[in-house]
Amino acid sequence: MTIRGKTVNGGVAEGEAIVTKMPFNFILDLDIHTGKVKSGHELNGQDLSNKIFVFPTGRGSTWGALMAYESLLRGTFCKGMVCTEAEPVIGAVAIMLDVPMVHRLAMNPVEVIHTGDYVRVNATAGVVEVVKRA
Amino acid sequence: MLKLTDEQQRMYQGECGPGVQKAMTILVKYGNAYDAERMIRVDSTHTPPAFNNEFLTQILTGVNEVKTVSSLHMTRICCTRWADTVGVVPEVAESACQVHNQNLDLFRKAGFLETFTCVPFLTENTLRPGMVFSWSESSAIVAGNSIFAGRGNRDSAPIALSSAITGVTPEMLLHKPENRHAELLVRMEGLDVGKFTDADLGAIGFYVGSKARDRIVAVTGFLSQLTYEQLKYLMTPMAVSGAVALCHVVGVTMEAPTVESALGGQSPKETIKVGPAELKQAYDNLNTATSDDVDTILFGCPHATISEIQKIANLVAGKKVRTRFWVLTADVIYALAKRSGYVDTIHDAGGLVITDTCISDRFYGIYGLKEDLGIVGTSSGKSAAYHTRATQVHYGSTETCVAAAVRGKWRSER
Repeated sequence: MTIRGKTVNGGVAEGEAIVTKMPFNFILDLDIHTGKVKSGHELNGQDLSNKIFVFPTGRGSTWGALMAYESLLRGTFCKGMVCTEAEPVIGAVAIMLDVPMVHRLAMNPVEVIHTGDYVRVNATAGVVEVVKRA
Repeated sequence: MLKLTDEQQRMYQGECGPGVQKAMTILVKYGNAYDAERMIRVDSTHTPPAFNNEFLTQILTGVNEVKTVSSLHMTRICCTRWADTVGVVPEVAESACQVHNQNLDLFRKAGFLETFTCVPFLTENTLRPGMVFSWSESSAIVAGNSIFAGRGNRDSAPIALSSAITGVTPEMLLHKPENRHAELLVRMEGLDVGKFTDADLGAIGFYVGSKARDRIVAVTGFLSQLTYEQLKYLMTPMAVSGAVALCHVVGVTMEAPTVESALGGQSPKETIKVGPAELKQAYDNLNTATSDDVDTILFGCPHATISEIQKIANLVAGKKVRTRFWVLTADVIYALAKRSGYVDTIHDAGGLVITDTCISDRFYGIYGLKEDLGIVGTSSGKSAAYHTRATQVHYGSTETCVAAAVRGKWRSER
């Protein structure tokens, strides 16, 4: 399955998807030292590092990009991001970190992509491909 | 596709130096991601100082002055002049201050104002209706759009910084009048709006934010004007539980004289009611303490206004607090509060007025404190929401908080 969307930040990444329907904040919800999600988010305890992170949008603080940058430097950040509609705070994270990201897809990614699916994000072309189902 | 003027194109191509080029590259990507067609002048920016030093050095290379009024957000408590008073871990303070001072050198050379506050609009970085702002602070953004009728998006730190460096920002989303109409209509039912405390307003905001996500909100049901402080308590938590950047309060805020104007003549995409059950639900989310013990009472999230400090001073005058009792504000507001006697009144009662930092963000703001804050009591919905992630929290009005500090025990007045 291939879904077209809009480029937020170019580049190509592939890996296992981790999917949530709950909005995410990179300062409140991410432990930058481990790459794991903190309690208070439904992904509590799950590891985002080196995954393709699929989520609806952001919430809360506008500081996420700075903490996400620290996560990137520590090697705990996700490889690529796919959002339903990346509210601007989330878009800025992808741009500052230069991580491939697509949003505004033809289908809602949090509905059609499932945790464990193997996903390829060609953000330069604005395309998300589900290579293999979990 | 975003079109650049000749001058902007020169910035993008690197003719104005590598720092400006990096900033313009960020803004071009950002604009293209949200269908911007052109850059517009930015009248005001507000940036956190906590950048990775290498990133900041690169983007400020060759930047001799910012192109618009640009202020700085708060810093870590261990980097402020209050560090010794509140007690910080020396090694943590040393390394944090080293980065802070290195960054500050760069910011100073480029002409950023050292306001160190989350309320730039209460310092010299003010807004008039229609002005374009790029601020990295969720509570300031919703206030800038809603209360002051400025135009700004939820611009994160790199966007505000890049806008300061270039003097422009991509025209998108809330910059355009046609994108400023509410999609979510909130009706208050069965609540005595005339008797709302600050904590009631914050609880309503917290509930509304969780339903709104990133949509524009219109709230109906207020029968008279609200003060800046009341609007702040209502709106700030909407940008915590949700990502609200604009909240029309019908009959109160500038762009919403009527429901029709708030909705732009369209039907709302969704209508929700807020009544006693919803208010209780929000209080239950923010009140997580299991006993009446309380160790720390916190005010000033967002930073307290002079009226709030005056009110707290009057409530605590001649009494003694039995808890940690902190009021946070901007340094310029502190100066007025000191001159007016409120700082001394709060000190005499055993409290502390602190500037330049944040009491809500455990990861960033209060990082480096020697003693844990323990069980927190606050009238700030934002502060309560943040602290529930790390400790037990009591949430109630400013009056309830002051009474608890004096008593040394929390007593709910709801």
